Formats: sequence, C-alpha cells, structure tokens
Amino acid sequence: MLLLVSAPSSFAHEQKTAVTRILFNPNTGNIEVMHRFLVHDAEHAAGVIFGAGQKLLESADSRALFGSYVVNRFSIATIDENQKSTELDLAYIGEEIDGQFLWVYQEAKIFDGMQALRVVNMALRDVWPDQANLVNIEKDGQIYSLSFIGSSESLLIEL
Amino acid sequence: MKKLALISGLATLAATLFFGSSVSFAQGIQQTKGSFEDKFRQLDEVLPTPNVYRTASGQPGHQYWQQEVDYNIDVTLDENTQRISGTETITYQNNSPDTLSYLWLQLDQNRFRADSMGQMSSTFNSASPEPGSPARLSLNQLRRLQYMEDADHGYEIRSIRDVRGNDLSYTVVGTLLRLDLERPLRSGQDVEFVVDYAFNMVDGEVLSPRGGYEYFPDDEKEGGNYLFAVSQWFPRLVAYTDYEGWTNREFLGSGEFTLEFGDYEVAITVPSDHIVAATGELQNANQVLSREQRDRLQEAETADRPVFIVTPEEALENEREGVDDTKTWRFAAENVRDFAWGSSRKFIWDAKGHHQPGAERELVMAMSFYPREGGTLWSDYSTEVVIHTLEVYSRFSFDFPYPTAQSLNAGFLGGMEYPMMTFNGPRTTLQDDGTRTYSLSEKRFLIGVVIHEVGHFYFPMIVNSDERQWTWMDEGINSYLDSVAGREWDAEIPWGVEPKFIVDYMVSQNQVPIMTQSDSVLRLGSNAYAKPATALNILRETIMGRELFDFAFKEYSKQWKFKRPTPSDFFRIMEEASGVDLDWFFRGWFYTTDHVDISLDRVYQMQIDTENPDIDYSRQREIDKALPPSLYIERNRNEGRLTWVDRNTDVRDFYDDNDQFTVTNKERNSYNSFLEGLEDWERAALDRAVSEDLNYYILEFSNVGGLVMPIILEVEYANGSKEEIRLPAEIWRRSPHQVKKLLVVENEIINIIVDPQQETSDADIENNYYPRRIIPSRIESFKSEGRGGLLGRDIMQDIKTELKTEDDEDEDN
Ligand SMILES: [Zn+2]
Repeated sequence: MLLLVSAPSSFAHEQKTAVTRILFNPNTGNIEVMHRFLVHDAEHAAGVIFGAGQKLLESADSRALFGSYVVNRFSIATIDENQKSTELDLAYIGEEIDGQFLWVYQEAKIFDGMQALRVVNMALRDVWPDQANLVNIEKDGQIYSLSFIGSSESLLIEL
Repeated sequence: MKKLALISGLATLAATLFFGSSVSFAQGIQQTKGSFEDKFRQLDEVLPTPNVYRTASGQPGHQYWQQEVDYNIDVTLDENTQRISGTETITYQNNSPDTLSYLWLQLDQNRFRADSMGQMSSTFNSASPEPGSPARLSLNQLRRLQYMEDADHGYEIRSIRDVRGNDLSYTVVGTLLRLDLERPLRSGQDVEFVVDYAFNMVDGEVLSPRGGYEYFPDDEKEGGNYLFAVSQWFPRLVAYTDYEGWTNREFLGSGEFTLEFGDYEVAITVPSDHIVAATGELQNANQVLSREQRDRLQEAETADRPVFIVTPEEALENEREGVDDTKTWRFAAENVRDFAWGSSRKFIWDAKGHHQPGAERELVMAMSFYPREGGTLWSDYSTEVVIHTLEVYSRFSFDFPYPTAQSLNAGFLGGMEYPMMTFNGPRTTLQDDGTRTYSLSEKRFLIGVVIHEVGHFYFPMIVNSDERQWTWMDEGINSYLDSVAGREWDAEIPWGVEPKFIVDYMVSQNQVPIMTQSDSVLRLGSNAYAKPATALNILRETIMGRELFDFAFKEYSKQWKFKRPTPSDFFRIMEEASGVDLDWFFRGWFYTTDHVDISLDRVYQMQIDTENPDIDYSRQREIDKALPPSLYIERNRNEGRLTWVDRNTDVRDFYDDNDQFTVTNKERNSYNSFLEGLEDWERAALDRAVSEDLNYYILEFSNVGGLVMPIILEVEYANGSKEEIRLPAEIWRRSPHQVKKLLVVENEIINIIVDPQQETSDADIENNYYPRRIIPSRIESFKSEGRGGLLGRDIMQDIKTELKTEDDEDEDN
C-alpha cells in the first residue's frame, strides 16, 4: 500500500507527513524555520484550500499561495523565566522546490532569555486530521522534537 | 604503538572473559561496568533459535510447512445498494504438524462497524479548544461521523455450514471469527465448509479504505455511476504459522494482512454493462466479451504499445445509460494469497503483453482499467509502467510467475496492492474548456505509485511476509526497490531514498525502532517505508557493494518465493549469501533509534624522527623559526628599540654563530652507535621510512550519533590531487565512541571531508570537515543564491511566450 490512513479526506494517497527544522543559527543570530513538504502532498492540499488546478512544480503563484498558507498555520511563542510569553515575529523568507520537496522558509532574531518555546504547527492538519508534522528544534548541538499528531495543536518545549 | 597495542590486547581479553561468563543469559547480557558498548555483538541472542522450519542460514528448513486454503466463491454485486453477497466454499489443508480444533477467519469488513476496536480506539485528531473559544470540527470529520451513524457496515454472516449442510458453531471476536470444527483436524487432513455472507461496501470518499466504491453523481446517466474497487471482501483464513501459531490479531487499520496461499475460482455477477477486472485469468471470455474485444486482446499480446480492449469512446458511450440484467465473469487464480477485483461501466481497458522468454510464464498480460477521469495520464503510462516494473523487479528477484499484472484507477485511495491487481489513485483535472490535464507532480505520482503497487506483486504477494507484524518487510523492501525501478524509468525524477532525506527523522527524539509491530509504529511512513528503504540502499551502495547485495537479495527472494519469511530469515540470508558480517548494521538500523553522526574532531601531523642529528636538528630549527615571535619583542622592535646586542655587533663569540640546533660530533657518534645497535629489520624499516619521507597524520573521530558506519574520507593534498579512503565500520568495534586512525601519505594534506558524497545519512555535516567549514543553512543558501532558481518554472505556460524580434524592441524603445 502507499500510505493510506483511516481518516476522512478526499485524497487518501498522501504521505501526510511534513518536517520542520527550527535552527538557532549562531552564524546569523537568527532562528531559522525551514518547513519541508512532499510536493505531491502540498499540491493536493493546495487544491483543497485554493481550488483545483494548483501546480506547485510549474507555478510560482501556486507556490506563493501555499507558502502564505503555511506561515499562517505556524507560530512560535518564546517564554522567559517569568513565564512571560512573546509571539515571535517570523519574517517570511520564501519558498522553493528541491527535488521531491517544497520548502517554506521563515526567520526571526534570537534574543536573550528564551527559556522555552510554544510551537503551533497546523500546516495541513486543518486539511487532513491525520497529517503528522515533526518539528526538530536544533539549539547548541541539541535536538528537541515535537510531534504534531493526534490531538496536539500547541506544544511546549523547554530549552 | 607497541604500548597501545598491548593495552587494546588487554581490553579484548577482559571483554572476552566477561562475555564468556555471561553467554548463558542470552538477552539478559549487560555491560555493567564502564561505557563500552558492543555495537558488533552478534544478533543470534536476539533472533529466534533456528529450527527445522527456519534454518540458521535464513532458508526454509527441511520441514518447512505452510497451510493451503482454496476458495470457490460466487459473489453478486448490487450496484444500486452497493451491496456484496457471496457464498464461499473454503477448503483448508492442514500441512502443519499440529492438530487444530478450531480455525480463525478474518472479517476485515468489521473494522467499519461503529463499535469496532478500530473505531473505538481511534483518537480525536483535532485540537482541543483554547479556553473561551469554540471547539473545531472539520466538515470532513462531521461527514465521517454522520456516515458511521447512518451506515450499516461489517459482515453479515448468514451461515457457516459443513459440506453436508449442517450448521457449524462459530464465535465472532471483533474482526475475527473462530470456527469450531466438528472433529479435530489432524496434520495432513483437510476440511471443507461453506460461508454465506453479505456486507454493504463503504464509500471510499468518506472512509478512505483500501477498497470501496466511488460515486460519480454528475455523470450523464440517471442517478450517476459507480466504480467498485473490491478488496477484503470475503471471510478469509487467518494464517497459522510455525513462529506465531494463529496470527489472530485484531485488524485496527494500520497493520495489514497475514495470509495463506491457495487456489481461487471466483464467479462475479455484476450489471451486464460492467467491465470486471480481477486477480487471475478470465475463464469465460466467450460469454462476457465481444468478438472484437477478444480479437483486440489477442492483438495486445504482441503489440509494441498498449491496445485498447475498450476504447475511451466506447467507455463514454457505455456509461451514458445503465441496464437491468446481469452477467457473470469467471476468474481463476492459482497459488495466490488474496483476491481483489474491480467493476464499473465506466472502465476504459488497455492491455499489452509482457514477454519473459524461457520463464515458466512466458506471456504476462499487463492491463489497466480506468474511467475517463484517468485520461491520457493513464492511457499513456499505466500499462507501460506495469511492464517496466515487472522487468526491473524480476531482474532483482525472479521471473513473474502469474499470468496477469493489472492497474486499476480508484480515485479515493493512494495505492493498494493485491496479487496481480493494484488500485491506484492519480487522476487528471477537468479544465473549463472540457479538456483534461495533469500537473507534473501528478504525473510523477502516477508513475511512482504504479511502480510501488506493482512492486508489491513480489513483496509481499509472492515473498509472503507477515504484514500485520512487520510493515517494513514489504513496505521497506518495496520502497527500496521502487526507487531502483523509478530511477531506471527516468533518472530526472527525484525518488525517495537519498540517504540525507531520512536524517530529520533519524535525529528526532520521538521515534521507535523499525523492529516494532505495525500497529504500534509511530510515523509509519518514515519508520516502515523510508528508513528501511534508505538502510537497504546504503547497504547496497556503501556497505556491501552492488554485486554482493544483489546476489544475497536475489537469494532471499528465490528462497522465500511462495513462502513466508520473517525478519530473522532476511537478516540471516543477507549475511550467509554475502559473507559479510551485517549484525552491526541490522542491530543499529533496525533494532535501535540511533542515528549517524561521525565527527572528525582533530588531525595531528607527525614526522618520523630519523635519529640522524644532521637531519633532525635542522628540521627542528625550521620549526622553531616558523613559530611566531614574542609579541613583546615584536612591539619593542616596532618602537625602534634596538637591543644591546644589535647596537654592539663588534662583540661576538661562539654562541652568536652556533645556535642550539648545531650538530656536534658527540651527537654524530651517538647516532652511529644507535645505528649499530639496531637489528637488521629495524635498520631496514628506519632506512625506508627516512628515504620515503612520508607524511604521518593521526585523525581523531567521534561517533556522535551512536550508529556505527564506515568512515569515508575525501583527502585533498597540497598538490591539488584528491583521494578517497574508505575505512570499514569495524574500525569502531573496540571503541564505539571514539577512534583514531593513522594515515601515512606521500603528500601533505590540506583538507579532509568525511562522507563527501553524503551516502551514509550523516546528520551533522559541519563536523565532517577538517579544517572546519561553516556550512550555510538552507535559508542562508536560499538568500545568497537568489530565490527560485531554474526549478519550478511554469515552462508549460511560459513556452507559449512569443520571442521578441528586433523590430519589437525598437518599438519598445
Ligand atoms: Zn506499499
């Protein structure tokens, strides 16, 4: 079988997994967010959201639409030692095709006192409830993982 | 060196003693002192003990057995109610050495009952509401809930009788049924019984099942049309095995099927205007096909390109109105582990013969069935891809043993496999002008999914692994091979098993080992498809080499053709047939959640001391000169401050002309007596080393990820040349966390890269470089290279742009 899942959707043949890397990049001083989707998954999702006929490999407009959708379903709030939560102002950098993947990029400045992150990643999860999003946070050589599966919408990670 | 050797010798001795005293505890063995981990520990204590059914060499044993179950089924499809009614006569042949007092049957359709374990244990896959905001439920979820409430699914078992018509007693347990035999079934005996059953098919659009119906309400025909993709449609035997007994595990929807081989005769009654495709071979073409269709089929046997048996025009005509009468299509299939079929009046049908000269089955009919919604995407590619897949897979395993190989288009699923039959999802998009087009991504998906599903004809439909237990054995192996076939179809299409793609998954914290029962696997796609496929790809390309891998893999395929292998059989046979110890590889990749990250921490350069003072002292003088001068003295000099010695050059003595590196005869005499004291072999070794004047480097590596892998080095020399050096994974066997390697090379090294081709799934690339290099992140590269690049242009659209002539440009100006 090619990944078939027991959940409602008009397209059941997507892999329905995406990976997001959140990199604390000491070289740039930025938190870099890199979302990776399989083009075929993304194209079908874009068809559901924006109407049939989306062509992610061929059309820059389709890709931009999909990119704007992703960044609207994703957020990071940082939490300092006083439990104060600040929503990160993630700048949209762009999106590109690389082989079978569509990448969407965002970034924000690193600032002091980031004790924890609260991450929301609903990309495609509002299209297919069984979409699974893996988020790897890389900071100072450590990797922290969040799994957006099942009922999880907003997940907290202590750094 | 001598000292080092002694120490490691001791370590080995100690380790041997320790393990020697613990062997009897098998899996209980633990290293309870120090941090040593035996990454090369043999797997035998983890694998099941070999026996007469499965040998230590990974082959079927001399008393290997499996059950045989033959089915004779009469089934009727009621299009208007989407209901299946059937009567099946099952013959169960007990080839096991055991006596059976009951049999277990699989009632897969019961998964769709509202009260099934699959339904009741499914979780609410959506966010809990934030305080103060309403909960959200998608329309899809609502539709599914309402559907489950209204619909009546699951098997209706009307009766189970013996051949004399007496009722047999049975008990339904979820998706399973225990049938109590009137008298125990002894080894070598068979029993026959008849099951009368019916069920309502599920709407594929709503439940995304492996089989169901698709409804086309907008078709011209009054009431619309249906397309049926029918699977898990008859109560079938649970496998009884030597390693697990009855494999009666509830069907939850994730772990697929564990099945027995047998012969099938199936009579399918459908509306008379339907075209039926099924596992096996059509037995009554004369009754269900027209003369013309039969002629076309014959023509297709030797055609260069697929031939329409039902043309798009004929199918379009056919789907405009329905009929009231029925036809019965008869199919037979020998030695298959399952049976699936499809039926619709919408089907276009094309076929082309696939020829295997010299094989037991010289002609295989590759065929595709699809509605007009499949369009030219299907008529151009589906059947051709089926044949391409058979060619590639047979090269890696065995000739295709069945008479047909089919691809059927059901729009509600991705892809699903059965013997000789696959259901595949890709469709074209209807444009406003009435034409049908498809995107490049959809085209790639069609090719990819047909290769993948047809690949399943071999794994697990012929090499009959236990899917309910081990998803990776069919999906992982098949994903590895589908990428082989994919790259042989079109090397330009990106396929999935490049080692670097799996890194994000392998470094993630919440994952389970590949060796995990299917229903418990987290992230099935990465765990059971991509990771094992990548592992096998690395095994072939990097660890074993193509020749050894292909031989061993073919041996596995041939030995287990029409039999039931387990993971241990695969692990064992790959080693036995290749002569390569792979326990460390299977242990690391399949039994742990380690990842690959080898770091080149330090490089030391060394030079051989010749012991000859005339050479060594002047070398040391050079080294001393090369050292940076004292900062204090440098600053004095910059201030123009002259020393007393500088100012009084007329006062000089012996020490002003002879530095500390000056050689005297005292040293020369001692060198000569050193040479005289050497044994002949020592003298020879020294002379050779001095005359070769090679460069000695000590490389220090650490294993950050935990998984041991070969160390592949690209060494760049000062003269501009490059060399690849491959150190086997066994380098880690005595110190799995850190190793040093001495490189003796002619030229001076200026650069070393670990895993230069990125063939080992090494997670952190930055620590692969010496000297260290800052590797830009994806975002950094994206920004510096400019956005977009050449990929992803809409060339199909842009190619319509007219070329500007000089005249145009003048006008523009
Ligand atoms: Zn599959």
